[in-house]
Amino acid sequence: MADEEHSRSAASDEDEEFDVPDDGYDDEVTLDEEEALGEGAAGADELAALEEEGEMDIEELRRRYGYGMPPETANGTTSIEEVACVEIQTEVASTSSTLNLLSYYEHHGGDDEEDKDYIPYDKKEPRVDPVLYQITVPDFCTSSNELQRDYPCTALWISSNKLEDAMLQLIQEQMKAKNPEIRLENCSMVLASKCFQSDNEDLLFTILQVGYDGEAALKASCENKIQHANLPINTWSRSYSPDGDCEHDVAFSNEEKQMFDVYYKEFGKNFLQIAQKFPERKMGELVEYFYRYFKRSARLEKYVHKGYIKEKDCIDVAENIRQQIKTAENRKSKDMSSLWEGTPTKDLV
Amino acid sequence: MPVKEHGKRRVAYFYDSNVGNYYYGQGHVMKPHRIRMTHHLVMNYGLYRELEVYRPFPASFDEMTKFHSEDYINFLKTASPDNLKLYNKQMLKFNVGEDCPLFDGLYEFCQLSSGGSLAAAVKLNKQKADIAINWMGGLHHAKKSEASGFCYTNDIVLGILELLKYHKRVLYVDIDVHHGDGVEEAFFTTDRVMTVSFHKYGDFFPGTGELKDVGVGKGKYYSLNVPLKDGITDEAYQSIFKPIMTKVMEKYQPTAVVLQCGADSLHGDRLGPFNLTLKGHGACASFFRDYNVPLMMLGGGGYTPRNVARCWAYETAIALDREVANVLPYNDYFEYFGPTYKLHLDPGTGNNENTSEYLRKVQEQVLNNLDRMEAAPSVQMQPIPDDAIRFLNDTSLGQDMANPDVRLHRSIMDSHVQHEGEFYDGENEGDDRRNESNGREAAAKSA
Repeated sequence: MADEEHSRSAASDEDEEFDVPDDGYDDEVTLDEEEALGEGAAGADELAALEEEGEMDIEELRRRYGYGMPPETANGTTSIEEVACVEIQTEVASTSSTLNLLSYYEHHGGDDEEDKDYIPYDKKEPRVDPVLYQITVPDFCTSSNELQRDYPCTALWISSNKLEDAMLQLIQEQMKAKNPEIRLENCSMVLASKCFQSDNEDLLFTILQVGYDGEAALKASCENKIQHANLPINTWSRSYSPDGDCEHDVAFSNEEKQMFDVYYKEFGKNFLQIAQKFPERKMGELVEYFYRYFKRSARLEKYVHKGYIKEKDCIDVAENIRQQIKTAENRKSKDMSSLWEGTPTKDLV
Repeated sequence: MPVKEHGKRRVAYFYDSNVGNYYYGQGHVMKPHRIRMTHHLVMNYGLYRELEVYRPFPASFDEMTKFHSEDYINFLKTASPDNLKLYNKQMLKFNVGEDCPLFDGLYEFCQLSSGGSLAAAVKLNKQKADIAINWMGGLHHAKKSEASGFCYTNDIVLGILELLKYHKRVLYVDIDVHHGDGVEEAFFTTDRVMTVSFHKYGDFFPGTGELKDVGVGKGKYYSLNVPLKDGITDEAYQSIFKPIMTKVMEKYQPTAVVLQCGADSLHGDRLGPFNLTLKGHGACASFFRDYNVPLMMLGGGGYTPRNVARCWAYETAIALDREVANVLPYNDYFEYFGPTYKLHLDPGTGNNENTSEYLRKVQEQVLNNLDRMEAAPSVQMQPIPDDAIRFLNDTSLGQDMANPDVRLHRSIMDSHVQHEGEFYDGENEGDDRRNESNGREAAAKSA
């Protein structure tokens, strides 16, 4: 079990494409050393033996090297011919009834240096047993009772033709507050603009709650009553209260960010352990913080600094990306929040 | 962008924001976070507003035990990383601990995944939607009492069981790079569910899914397997997918379709060796959309999260019949999509080991298997005339249906073999259910 853990963590999490720098250097030091030992005679024997082996029958070869009877494999010939260089833990392959997907892939890297005996992934037969494996299919139901059954869900948003009207109304009211002479075409243009391409699920949820009424939605937003649509209740802060007065956007304070840095360096991605150091935070929060803020900034640096981008373009690209982010955020927060004040901006950075 | 009236479908989308916060463990390739990335892309492409978005309730214990065994679900419910030591034996029995680690919140995660598929099935049953999407689901390797391949509860089987209450024939199609063994196994002996799986076969997890596996008993020829080799491209894939699935739809005439859209069949997946791009993968979804049958689209495998998000967002757009720009919209996880920041993938330059000769042969055999299937089986059983009995594959059926006043036909008598378990006398009764040959040994000993 410990080996598994180790090998899994060894496989890095970084999943972007990169080229392994390969300058073709071939290390022949050991060969030189052996020659220096001066085994002229032994060398000749070796060569003769190799020649003999070349002529030998494969069965004899096996016997000579103690392999006995060849194992029965489904694709017998290909298993010998394939030089796929994979080492599989044989105990795992033969004893566990279901094969270990992960450990197989950890070794299947493509970076293996030497030929090992290739053991193909075991073929499995389908299992049949009405009690153990199969499911008894229920009868085709004709009673209306079953058909009435509903699976409980919370409707977060139902698309409707009324959406455009509601949105237009919202924009109109907001713009009118600033400029009473505003006309409908201007609002339509705003609606068609890029900032409305992306959907704000909280806003849409509120619009749904008020029955697609633009005015009411605006009122709700002005009174700071935009409800959060899909909060991660189970995996988020314990300070969340379902009544809507939630501290969902309780950002990580600077100390917390520093703490996270330190513990991440110490524990790696072992969020369970890191979570123990953050008594106020649930593990899910840490996972979300990791993916949404921590890793993103790290990724940005990686693209800039790890040489994927050439030195001279380095600053430009990074700057470009930073600019893009900035304008998108500004655009988002400017247009969105100016139109409906009170929407909490998800700015935890 | 106006939506074409004739192509309009009501699409229901099921998502719970908790799902992205579950973590399988350090270095594990399965990352539920990819579902959250998908959701953000869907939102920022402006697709959200055309959907019906629901947050499903987590599935209950009773719901999940409609397929799984109670002690398995009990184990999932009570075991946690803290009390691992108490459950060593059970962990082995249920295959939890290595590929399928015990992580914090595991049971909740299963509840969400299963809840989504159940909600989707009910939505389709009530005809409140034409297409139902649950990217949290599609975990097709889970078995009745066993976790497998990063899957713990088989939401697909649960969803299909729900669909079967209202649909006579359900078609299950699996385009994940791995064989859909959990679902196939569950429905191996029934004709009410037809399972078709396109996957890499040969020295690949899980090891099942050969051409010759077609089902048994009543389910014979209602399971199809299309084994493929490394590096298959979009064109090659569609060249075999379309003809087979067209014939399946024609012959089986399902009243509902469940499509598992595992994204590990894409190029650049961490585990999958195929070379599909979004176009080829998504073509499978649009194939079924065109048939206008109730369709459930589920997630599944996919171990390069940025490509998974791209794929499923694209397929959501396909369900809505909306075109989306190739340039990705800015979103909360934008940096993950570098260095291209584009939606579509470039096809890889790897070698396609599926020669056209190989594909042709596979297609031929699959279509042959399909030919042996009875077209559109009805649910009611017809009374079988006496002289037809000798041609039946299912021998017990012949015995049951035969005229009780007349001696059993010779063919039935001859094929009647004492069941292995008849002399089952072992001590492990009830506990060692995997040991199939116990009966034989016991019989030999007592003889």
